[in-house]
Amino acid sequence: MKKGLFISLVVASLVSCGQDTEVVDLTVWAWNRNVDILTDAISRYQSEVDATFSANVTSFSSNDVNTKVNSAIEQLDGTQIADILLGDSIYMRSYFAKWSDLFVNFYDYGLTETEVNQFLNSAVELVTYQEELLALPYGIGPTVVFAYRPLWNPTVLEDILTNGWTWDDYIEYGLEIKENHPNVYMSAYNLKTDDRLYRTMVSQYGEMFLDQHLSVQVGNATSILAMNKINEMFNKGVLGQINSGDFRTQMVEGNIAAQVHGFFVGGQLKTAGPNTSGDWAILPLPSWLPGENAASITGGSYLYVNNTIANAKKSKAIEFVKWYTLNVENSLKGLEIGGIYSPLLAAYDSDVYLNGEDAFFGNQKTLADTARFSKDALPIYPSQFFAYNLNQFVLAQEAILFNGTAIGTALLAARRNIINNIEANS
Amino acid sequence: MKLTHKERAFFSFILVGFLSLFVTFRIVPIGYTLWRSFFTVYQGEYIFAGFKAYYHVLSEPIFWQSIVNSFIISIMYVVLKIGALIVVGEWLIRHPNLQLWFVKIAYIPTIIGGFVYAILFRYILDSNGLFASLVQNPQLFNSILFHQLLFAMILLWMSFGISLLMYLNRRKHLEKSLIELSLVEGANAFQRFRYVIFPHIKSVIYFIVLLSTIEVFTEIELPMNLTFGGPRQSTITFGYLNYLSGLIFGNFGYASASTVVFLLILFFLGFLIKGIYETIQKTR
Amino acid sequence: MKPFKKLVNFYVFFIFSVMSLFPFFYLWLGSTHNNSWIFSSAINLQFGSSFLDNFVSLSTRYPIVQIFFNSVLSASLVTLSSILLIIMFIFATIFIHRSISRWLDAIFILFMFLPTTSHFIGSIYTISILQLRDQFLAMVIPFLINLRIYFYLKQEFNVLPSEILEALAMDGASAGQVVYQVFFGIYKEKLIFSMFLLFVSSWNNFIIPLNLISQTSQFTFPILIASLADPLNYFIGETFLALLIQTTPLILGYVYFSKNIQIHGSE
Repeated sequence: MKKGLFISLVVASLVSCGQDTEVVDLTVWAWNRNVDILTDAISRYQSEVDATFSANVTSFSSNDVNTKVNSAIEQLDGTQIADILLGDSIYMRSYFAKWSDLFVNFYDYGLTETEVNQFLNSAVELVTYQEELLALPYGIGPTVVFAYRPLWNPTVLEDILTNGWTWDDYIEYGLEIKENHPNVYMSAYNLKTDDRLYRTMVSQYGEMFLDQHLSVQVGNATSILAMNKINEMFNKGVLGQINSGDFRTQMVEGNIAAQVHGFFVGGQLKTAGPNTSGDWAILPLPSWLPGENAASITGGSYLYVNNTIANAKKSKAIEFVKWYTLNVENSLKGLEIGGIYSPLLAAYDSDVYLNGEDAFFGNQKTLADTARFSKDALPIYPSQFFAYNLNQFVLAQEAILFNGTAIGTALLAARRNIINNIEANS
Repeated sequence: MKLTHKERAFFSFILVGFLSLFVTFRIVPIGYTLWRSFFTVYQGEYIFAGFKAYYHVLSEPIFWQSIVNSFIISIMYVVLKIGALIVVGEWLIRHPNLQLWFVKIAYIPTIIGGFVYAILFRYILDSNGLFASLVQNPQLFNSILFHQLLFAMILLWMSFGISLLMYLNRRKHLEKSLIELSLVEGANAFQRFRYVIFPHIKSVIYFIVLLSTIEVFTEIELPMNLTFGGPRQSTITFGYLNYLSGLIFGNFGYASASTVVFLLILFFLGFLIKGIYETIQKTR
Repeated sequence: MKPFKKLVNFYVFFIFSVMSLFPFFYLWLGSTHNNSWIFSSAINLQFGSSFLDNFVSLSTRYPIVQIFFNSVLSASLVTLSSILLIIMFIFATIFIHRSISRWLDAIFILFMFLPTTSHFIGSIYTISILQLRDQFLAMVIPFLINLRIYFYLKQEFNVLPSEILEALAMDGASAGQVVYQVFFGIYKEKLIFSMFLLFVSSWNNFIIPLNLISQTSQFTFPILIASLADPLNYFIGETFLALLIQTTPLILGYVYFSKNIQIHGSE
């Protein structure tokens, strides 16, 4: 009997040699709700596509992901990062100039133009470097306004949804709300570290800290215009400061009337304040002038594949990333679990995006509305120096808002430092 | 004491092992830092940059600001610490029955990690947190002096226990007869402290000043988790700038060059403090 | 005046205790509440009812038992290995290679005053080169050398009366027995104090592990806390709970060992 068992084992092992039953364990880095989204996706991929695929998702803050990628690049050691990582569009671009070979060029692995054209063009442009596509879009961050209904007149909300509004209207409504609710702000951030509002405003004109030719835009006319508006909001008490940066808690407490932020915050609100369901509305961004384009997409997240890993792992990782990002069903699942807005054009034609009503937002067709608000967004160009530029800008913002420094003086000082940094690192 | 051949071989092995670890994890990293300060990364290669990073460091305002910030905070910290040590220490000397309990309680914050305090105080000191509810002065949260003083006070709170222990250890070896003699001679409290107590404890004070100064310059956890370097970069210490430039801005060359420059400043500072101390010694 | 002085002493002691211990009380409070309490403008120092919710939520997202075990194991290994290594190294330098001891001490003093930032980037590089990234040993091996403990123990050993060593030699004690009798006998309290400091230092190790460990299964508690304390995070009750779990073992350990620690300080 023992002989029979031994022979069976030998035969089984010989048979299995001819089959690809090897389980390949991949590492994935992600943050917040994306951990749940990717864990769910991995599970479905295993059951629907490849039973030998196995991956562990580790939760890191996006800051930690950036520091680890920085460390890997500065030491030219690709083994220090995960096999698949979720990266933002802004910080990650700074790595392309230093070591673009760290990330897989999807064009080298069978990705066709037809497949690429399924994504929003501006999303693809952000991760294209020297004609190489270094990541695939996972989610985009159209910027919208989260309005807390109990603080608003429903007629006003309806008017904004239909006809839009301007930044001056935003301030005016903010002052009206503040008369009845003195502790409420229209928006609130940690203005000492967060450039969200400024970034939103300048991106409406297609600007950022630098343009695609590395010309500095901080301190130009648009920059001064935006900073003036922010300063006005802050001085009138319409814009609030939160030292901890946790505006979500303030939102669910009803202390913020119209937070300007990325669409993904909707998913976070559902987790942080489930008992506020029905109290929210998504409004378009205010424009600078009546009837002007107000769209802004200033962020997004992408799935990168480590190009330095073994070929067997790499091909598995690429297949998974392509399956996830090119599949409308996956993007709908990402929306359902974590509120991630799809970068796939086909998703916008789905029933969920066209007709889906969200009870959390008072049965508003949030996806259709957001698509409508964001369709004319202009591309922006975060550079390899983004982290430094952001640091210089928030320093200027802090000096203006909290120290009374003249706007021109502060922005020009930031501009000078940004230029010096580019020259020193060129 | 005579050792057998085997014992000698074993302890020689230990010696080599210890020194190997020391070289690997202390000397090699510093060597790498020095080497790295001359190189930058571009398109997947190390490019020799010469002294470019050093020039960038020396011409960058934030580097000098971090040195100045660290200097200002260390002055606040050292003054508060030495003052508190002398006041509390002398009070405890007069109340020996309270010494043990006092030191035990003061020592508790010492054993907790700096990042724990930083995160905890971040929420306590939030503009919508407990401290704001008590103080009701929003301008305080924009005050540079407030944040630098806060920084110094949290560091003091974290390290007071161990410093108090060192102080009392040294202080209690002072013979009571000397104090009694000074009383007989008619010395007042200040004279007793200046001529009897201080000469006895000055070596400990010098040691604490040196360590405390280095502590402030190299502090990372408080700015990283509590102040984020603000307001207006007033709490960016050299240690935090090093971390920012290396791992956030992704510039190891700059971070390495700034480390080398800082070490030179540190040596200078060490010699300066030593020189001041010896000068004070000689003038007595 | 005596009762008045006693009252003053009591109040000073009381205020100092409150100042020292209030943050830990607040930590405990925070772990029983959710976000809205922490940012509530009203001063409310009552315990909440969200402790279990925070615990369940935290343990769902992270394997906190495994992470706690990693912290305990790495800190314990560093403590035991480091103290043995340091003791034997002291013995080796004093009894075998006395001539180089002075030179070594001069170099060690120099490095003792060098800040972590001077070798922080280099340490990450060295540990990566040794393929210790994401390995449990990355939390142990680089931290075996503790120069402050070395000098502390060596200083104590230097003042040991030579008669004790001579007596032990006359009794035919081997080197190992001498080490045992001296460090585990005569200097037992100082050894316990040193081991406690080593444990605390390793338990609170934050910056370098944060940049070396990427897998959740290898996390220690400081790395977990760094992940939770991300400003974009909004699970603040969980963050307080994690901070509480990080600090409680240290405080309990201190309460237990404080007698040994303070004997040294109160001589």
